Amino acid sequence: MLRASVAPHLREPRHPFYQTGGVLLCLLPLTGFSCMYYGIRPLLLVLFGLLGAMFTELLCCMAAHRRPTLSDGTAAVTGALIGAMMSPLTPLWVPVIGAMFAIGVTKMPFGGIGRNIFNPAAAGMAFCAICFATRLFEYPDPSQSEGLPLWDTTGVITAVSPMQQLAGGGVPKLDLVTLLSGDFPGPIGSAGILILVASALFLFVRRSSSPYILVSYLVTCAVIAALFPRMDIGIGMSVQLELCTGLLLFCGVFLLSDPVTAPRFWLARIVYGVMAGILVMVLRHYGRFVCSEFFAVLLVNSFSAVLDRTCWSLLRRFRHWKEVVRV
Amino acid sequence: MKQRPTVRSLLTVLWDAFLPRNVVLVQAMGLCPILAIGYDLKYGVALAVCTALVLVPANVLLSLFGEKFPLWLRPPVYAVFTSVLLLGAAFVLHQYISLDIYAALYLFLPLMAVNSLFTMRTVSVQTERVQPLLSLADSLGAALGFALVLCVASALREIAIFGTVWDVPLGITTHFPEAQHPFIGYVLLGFMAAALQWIQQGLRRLSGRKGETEL
Amino acid sequence: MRIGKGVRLLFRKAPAIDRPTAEWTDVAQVVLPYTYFAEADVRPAVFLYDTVRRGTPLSSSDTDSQATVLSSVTGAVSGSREVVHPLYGTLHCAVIDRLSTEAEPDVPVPVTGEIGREEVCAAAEAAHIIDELDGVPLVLKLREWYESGCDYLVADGVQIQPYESSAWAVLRDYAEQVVEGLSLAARAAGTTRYHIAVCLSGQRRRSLALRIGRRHLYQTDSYYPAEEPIRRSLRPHSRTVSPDARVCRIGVQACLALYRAIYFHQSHDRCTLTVAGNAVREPQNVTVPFGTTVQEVLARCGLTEDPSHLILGEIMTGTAAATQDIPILPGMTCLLAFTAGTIRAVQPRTCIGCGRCAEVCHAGLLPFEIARRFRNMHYERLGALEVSACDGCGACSYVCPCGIDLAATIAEARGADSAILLELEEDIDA
Repeated sequence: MLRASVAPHLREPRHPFYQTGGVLLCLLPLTGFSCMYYGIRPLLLVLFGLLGAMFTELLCCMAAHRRPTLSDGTAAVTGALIGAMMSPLTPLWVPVIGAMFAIGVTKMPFGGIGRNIFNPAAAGMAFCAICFATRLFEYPDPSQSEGLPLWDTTGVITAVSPMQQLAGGGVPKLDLVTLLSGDFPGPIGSAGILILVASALFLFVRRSSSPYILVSYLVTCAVIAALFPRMDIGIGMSVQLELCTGLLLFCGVFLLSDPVTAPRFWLARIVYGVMAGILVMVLRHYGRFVCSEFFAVLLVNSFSAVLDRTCWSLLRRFRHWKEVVRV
Repeated sequence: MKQRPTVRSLLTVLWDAFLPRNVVLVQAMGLCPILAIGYDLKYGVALAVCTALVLVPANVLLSLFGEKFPLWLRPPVYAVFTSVLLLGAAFVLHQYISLDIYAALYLFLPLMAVNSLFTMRTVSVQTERVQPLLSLADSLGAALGFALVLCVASALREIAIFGTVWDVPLGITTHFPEAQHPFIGYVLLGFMAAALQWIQQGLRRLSGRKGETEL
Repeated sequence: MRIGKGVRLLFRKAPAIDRPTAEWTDVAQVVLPYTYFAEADVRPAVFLYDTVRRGTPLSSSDTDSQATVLSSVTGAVSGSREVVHPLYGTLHCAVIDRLSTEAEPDVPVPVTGEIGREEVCAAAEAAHIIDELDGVPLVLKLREWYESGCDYLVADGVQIQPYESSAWAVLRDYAEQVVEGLSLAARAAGTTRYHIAVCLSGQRRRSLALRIGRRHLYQTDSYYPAEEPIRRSLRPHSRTVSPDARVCRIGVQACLALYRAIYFHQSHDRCTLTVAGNAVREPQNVTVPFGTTVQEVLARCGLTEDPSHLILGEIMTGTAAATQDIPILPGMTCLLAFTAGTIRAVQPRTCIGCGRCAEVCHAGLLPFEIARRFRNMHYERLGALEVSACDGCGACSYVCPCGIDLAATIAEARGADSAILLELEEDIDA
């Protein structure tokens, strides 16, 4: 008995977990790196975010009478990303709340995976930033804290992070080696600059994310940091500090290149990266929060569908026009 | 030839404007005051009453005289008319009810005059329902729908922010003062809109009209 | 990592290409249509119990000589029947039982004088050569190229898809003849620039270059689909290739048939095709007369078990056949049979927007957007998305991590697009 099938009869062998598994794999060394400085607490925060997101997704699927979509791993990635954007001092329930908001408000009501307009991780983090601003942006000093207490972190001495110093007009005394080694106060995911770069390369090679977005985003950020330094520390130092501190690189690698909310056409991706870079730097100059990169991500997310269409038709029109001119 | 509307048809129009075509949750109009000050039940009730006091007479009167104006002139005439009514409502509120509530609504009450809620309702009244009785039922339903949503949303937000309803403590210790942010109001309205659809779906299923679609 | 169009596919030619090509001219029966073209106006010229010689026409036509079909064997007509062919549609066919048992020898015919454009076209017309790339009579293509201009004539021996190796086998066995046929075709098309495009590994390429010289052998890169690599491969060899130079493609087997038509006066009645797939015991390239049934070819190659999928053509672009009882006709260069479970239907999930389809599309389209618009019935937007530029290579479906059948959806959208345009035109006319 011969059965029908539609061309192409061959498909690239890919597991649904392929894309998200790569991101989770990248978050592992990142969290481990943070654990070296702060003890087991960063890992717990990431795990709590992850479990909170998966639990919420399960609840939403049950409420909608749908087959649970946990196996594709997008919920786990969202939760883990939220956990990794927190300060190591954050109470453990904060990433859970953020993950619940991310899945329950920004992802599942829109129809679940593939249909959300805004990046759930960025939305969850923005929610936490607005609601728990006081607890979220206090960072411990990595050189002094010998393993943070697991539950009650009220007594831990906090340090002024380079982001705060830059925002307040101060000059952080950090050289390149310190920046690359992550030995300065900051969120969990922002410490390992080299690990972030390696993660980006890893995701490019796996084709889980596109280099267009990240490169255009970083170039824009660097150009703005060079042209408009926030204080008188020289162009090179300004670029170094802006790129390596805060969640700038983390957002570029993990949030901006999230395939669901980013544009799909290459030119649109470049424009998207540039827009995100400009917004991030504007928010750094004039923003209220110490870390506000995820707000920029949310803002540019709303443009991605329009960018796709416009850039594609503009490019087509340009090519037609070129042909006409040549003839 | 105009026919006198029956009581049944009036009730249908009222119900239709109250839930299935709810101004806030289905037509997404009049969001701004709910987001901005709908975080306290007292304010909510005051705003809802003011709205009803303006919307119902405005609609009825315009259904009587609206045809006398050319189409391009109607929106400004309506705006002027509603603002005059609002002025009266604000005066009553200020003088006789509560200075406190007036102070809270101070910015938003005048703004209501140009709210899409009024213009849209009045225009729709003008084009669809010219009979005053039908217009009365329709605007009453709309005002009730607006009041319901506003009261539910503001009560919920009041509980979250202060742990009280109409200043009566409920004995809740964990407060969530961030619910005062407008974006929480947006999220709340979104879920309320979904809940309304869900309820209507349930009602349709109960009444056995499965094949019928909304719109 | 590669930023650019196309996908790299697997290499599964291995057992078939390493075996010698089998010549199976001693088939028991052939099923040949009176014409390949549904709209052609032909009359049957042979009837029940008639004896036909190899090379005599089965039908006659007053208007179009290329619409008739030549018999590929010497034998007796034992019946006629309707065949629903996946590539050609419904065909009215004659069934011919082969009679002569000895193979007919190839007799060279002395060629006198210069072979010009007219002679080549006449030979292609007389031999009824049909290009295996698109199933169009070669003489029509040659005339069209001559009239509208042809800058480069490329014999397409690339065969980048996983299983197909018939052109490789033909080039291995008859490289010199193919080049000679290609030069004749180039003469007829009015160009002096011609070459064979291949995508071979080092050893095979070197041995081929030793036989026909490097001048006429261009290596393409190994990304599917092949049309774009062929264009790209021209660039390093000739600086003068302008972007709008017209590159014309001809099949390797058509070149060989042209050579044989001119020097041996043979009609084009055989084809080489790859029989492969995991249900086939001995995957190999075979040369059979046109009209041989798929059943017979599969039986002679041997089946390990009853195939569940039979694909005419390559795995990316081929058509699934519903029955084995169909003849092998021009345009078929590959025949794949798979056991149950090899070709699995993928359960499509929601698009996650990775953009891989747009990355690999060599026409530069936005497949995800076309599919979305089509599903949401925004037909008026399809024209602006240039759906008609899709050539159905299927690379988008291949790479989609969500298992969405983009190629099929876009094919439907193309149909919808043209249907809507027709309606619009009718409206305007009315």
